[in-house]
Amino acid sequence: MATIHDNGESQTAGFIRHRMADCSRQLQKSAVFGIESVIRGELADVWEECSQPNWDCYNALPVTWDAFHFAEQFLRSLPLGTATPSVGAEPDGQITFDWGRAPRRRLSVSVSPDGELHYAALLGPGKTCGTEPFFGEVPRTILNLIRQVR
Amino acid sequence: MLDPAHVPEVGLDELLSRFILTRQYVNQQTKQLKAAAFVPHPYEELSVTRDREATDDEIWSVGQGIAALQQKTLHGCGEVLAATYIQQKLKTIADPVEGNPNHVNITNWPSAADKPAQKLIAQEIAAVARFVPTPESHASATSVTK
Repeated sequence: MATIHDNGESQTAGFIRHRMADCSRQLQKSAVFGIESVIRGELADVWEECSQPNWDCYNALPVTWDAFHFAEQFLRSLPLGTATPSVGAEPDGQITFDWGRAPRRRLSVSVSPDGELHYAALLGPGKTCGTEPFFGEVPRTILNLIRQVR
Repeated sequence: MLDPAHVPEVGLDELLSRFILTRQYVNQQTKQLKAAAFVPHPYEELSVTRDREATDDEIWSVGQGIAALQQKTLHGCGEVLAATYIQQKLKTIADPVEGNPNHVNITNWPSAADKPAQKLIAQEIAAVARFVPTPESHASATSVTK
């Protein structure tokens, strides 16, 4: 039989409460919440700053709603545990996601308003670039590159 | 600054500054410049300022002038050696303009239609660029931040 503590809580209830608090902390650190935070933070900032023409003072095109929509979908489709990218925009109005901290281990993916993903990566002495369509899932090529620059 | 009537060709060892007027071009975690900072779109050339015969103060004043004109904040500049652009098969063309005799155009980019190729070159440049935040003495003139 469970014992009752001074505050009226049984040992079992206390154990469950502690476990739930641990789980909650773990979840808050997890990629799901990380991505949600990126969407509400950096991606929202991009929309606020870059949805008007000339946002970079070099005549950049505005980020469009379509690009924003695809960018949000792209972020939500990243597998659990994927490192969160730095979000930005390019002067042609595409939204960019950048990974990598070392100068020669960097990946940049641009999301276009028509759902194309343009990428360029430095991989130590090697490098690669290309275009992939986005159909709601992050292409394997890009997932592999994210892993390589982490 | 250079005498506009006698502007020499750009030397390989000259430092060329790209003014940064948006936070979106700076990785806020690493404080490194992103490739996007060096993508020339919508132009065919990238606009930079050379340091030859110019003091730091003069270079920053050019950037601050652009920022003030457009009511934006000058966040800093990306310094890159001219040789870096040449290694990427780009060309550095002296292009003095009114108010900035040290202006240089970086030309010979792949077509904008080949976006991945442009991005890759911009990545190479960003990888060696040094981001220099705007010094206090030039940061306060503009009040609008976005």
